Amino acid sequence: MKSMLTALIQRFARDVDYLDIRLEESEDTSIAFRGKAIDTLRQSSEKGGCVRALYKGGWGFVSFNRIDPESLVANIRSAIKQSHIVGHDASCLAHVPVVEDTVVLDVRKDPRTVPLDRKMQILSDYNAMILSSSPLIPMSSVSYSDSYKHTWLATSDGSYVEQERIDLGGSLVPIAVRDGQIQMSSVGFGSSDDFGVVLNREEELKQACRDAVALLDAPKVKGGVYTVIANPTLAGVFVHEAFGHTSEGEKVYENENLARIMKLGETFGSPLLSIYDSGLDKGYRGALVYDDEGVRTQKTPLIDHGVLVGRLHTRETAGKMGEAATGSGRALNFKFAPIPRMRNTCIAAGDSSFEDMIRDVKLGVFAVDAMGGQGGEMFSFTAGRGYMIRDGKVCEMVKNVTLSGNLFVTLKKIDAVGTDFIIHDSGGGCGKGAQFPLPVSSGSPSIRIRDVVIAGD
Amino acid sequence: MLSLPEIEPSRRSSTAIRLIISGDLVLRFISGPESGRSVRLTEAQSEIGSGPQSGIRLRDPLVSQSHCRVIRTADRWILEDLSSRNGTFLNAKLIRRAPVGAGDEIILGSSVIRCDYHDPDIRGSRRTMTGDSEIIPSMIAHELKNYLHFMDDCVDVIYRETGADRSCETGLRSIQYAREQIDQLIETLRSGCSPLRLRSCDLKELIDEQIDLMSVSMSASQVTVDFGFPMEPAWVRIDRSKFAGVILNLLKNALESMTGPGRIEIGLTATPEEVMVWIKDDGKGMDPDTLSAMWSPLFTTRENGCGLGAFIARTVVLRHQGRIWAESMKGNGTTIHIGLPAAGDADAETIEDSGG
Repeated sequence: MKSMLTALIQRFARDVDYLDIRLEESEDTSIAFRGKAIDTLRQSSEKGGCVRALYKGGWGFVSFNRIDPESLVANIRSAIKQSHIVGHDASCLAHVPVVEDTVVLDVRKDPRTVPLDRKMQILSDYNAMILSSSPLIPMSSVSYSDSYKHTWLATSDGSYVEQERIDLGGSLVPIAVRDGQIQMSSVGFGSSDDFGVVLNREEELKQACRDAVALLDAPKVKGGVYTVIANPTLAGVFVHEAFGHTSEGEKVYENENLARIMKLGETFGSPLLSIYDSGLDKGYRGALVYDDEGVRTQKTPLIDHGVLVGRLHTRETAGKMGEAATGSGRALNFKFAPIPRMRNTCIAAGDSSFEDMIRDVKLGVFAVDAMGGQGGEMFSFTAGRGYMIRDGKVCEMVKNVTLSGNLFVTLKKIDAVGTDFIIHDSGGGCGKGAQFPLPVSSGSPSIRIRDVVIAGD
Repeated sequence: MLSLPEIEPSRRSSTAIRLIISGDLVLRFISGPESGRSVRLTEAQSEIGSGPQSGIRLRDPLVSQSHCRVIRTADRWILEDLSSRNGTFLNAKLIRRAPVGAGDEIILGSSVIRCDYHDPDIRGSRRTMTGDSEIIPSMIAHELKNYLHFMDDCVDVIYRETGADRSCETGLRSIQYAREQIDQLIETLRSGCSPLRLRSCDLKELIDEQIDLMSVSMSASQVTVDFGFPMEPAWVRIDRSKFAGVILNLLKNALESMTGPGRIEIGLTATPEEVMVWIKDDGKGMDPDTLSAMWSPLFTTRENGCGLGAFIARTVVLRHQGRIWAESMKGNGTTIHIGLPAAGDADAETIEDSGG
């Protein structure tokens, strides 16, 4: 493979400013239950590749699923032709070290060694547990997927990277229904090296079933401005959706307003706040050795003690902005070109205990887990559930806890960061454009935010 | 507003179903962040989500970027979940893909959506057609017009080519056949929508007959026909007379979609469960809006058309428990697919309730 790809690159490199060829083989399994019925049971394998050619700032991109020398030559010519049609400017890619490397799998439990019927049985048992947990839980959504990916990348800079990767994730969702009201709770899991994370979720799942039923009776939170303590899972989703997406290089490069705000060196929060995005956290879904441009992954500080210090780049966005590539150029699969993406986005641990954070909150909301959210400068998130905080104590459960606000204002209002840091993985993944679901993780300790607007009656 | 909840879905007549879907679906947000908003679905597919690529973008944080979509098919609306994080609920039931219509309630995240049909369209339909009693005479008029056209073509040929024996013979046979069809239609006019007289029949043979019948008009228009039939008979249980009308209508539509010389391809495949027929033309094709409306009664793009050919074809196919759909692209022709349950070769005739 290596000799073929490097020979092709050498043959055509002189016609463009930059050329890369990426080939991929993958195997995927998906299982899903909706209620008692099996909704999805799929095993598939795919093989394909893509060519990217850059000429005078214009990209040609061709993806294909015939991998023989003759087709490859035709596809390279086609990508080069495209780049010549669109290129009228100057090419600008950040310089990166030339690498030659082979990354073999280093896993604890490879999901491919677990037979399909065993996977089905595990999921089916979880599903049965949900559906028998309460008469108020007539529905469930249980899903699992895993994938194995083998990629070969050769670039005209002389890099050659062969990588194997495993990804798996899932979620177990009890759905409680009464009088047309629907409430759910969820247990999520994921890993890049261990099928074991799928197992032994029974106790968490029982609690999720109890939470879903309890939410039916819980009162809606009263709308207002509160001090909010977000648990690590919700804070992780917040940092991914609100801040992580805003840190993607092309967003800043292409949006003048955002570029004016997101100036490196500006203060974005209190000295307690540090945020980073890392591909180095082995075992988590966002872990990655090289990105899809052959750039070694790293831990990229985004906010260091309140000061903006970095963002996530492909070689192109880094080059155009005069910054360094960060190993964040990721593509969902061979059908897509790499774009700036997150890996494992985290708020770094602080030094407050949960007791310290809650002690002087007279009236507030403890927001737990995340049902979903929309990021960007104006964000809105809904917690899985909430609990009122009264006089420094966690009190009754409340539902419909939706936090919204301006990202930059809110970051400055984070006034306590906990020690209880965890990285959270779940099923699904991150979506950007058509590239969904990309495996990512997020992590955080509990954080306390002052003056958060919570929608409500 | 046309209200049909009192009719059991399985007992709805085909005509009634068409009246419903001739209106666009309207989503009315009754709670959640979009409360008060109404969206009329006019596209063949409408994606709903919180992402920028979604045609219907919701500010609901519990809605995934690409949450679900509503698809308009030839005869109904389908709601399909797009692997959303928090699921798509139809009438409080978690669904992956399900038919959706007026009166249904969709829940996406914290948004509750009531489905409705767009009023003006429904009222428009009702003004012209309130049920079978009004539409049957129109259908018959359309059919009569078809057969009379063939008769005219044939008579022209006989006059022009009195020396050509073969042309005369084909023409006269067609006149005789058309007259028989007119007789039966007049009978239908008298007795209302007649029941299906089902008997086993080789669909290949029936299609051959209809092509023969059309051959005069086709050669006059310089249109050639290519067949792709298997050797074995393709047995189906159909009302032969009514189904002949279906094939004839579709062939005629294919012919009329061509402005000059062209080609019609007819294929047939049979499995133990289903016999599939397709009729493909290389005519002018349809844009997505025309395609989605083509099965509606009285919808036509031709100046002198009745807008009933495709409607009748579909009505008859559905009454035979079959399926029918079209694929088309503007400038690239149209293909009509018909699937009918396969039958053994028993020849006993049964009369079934018309269901309508």
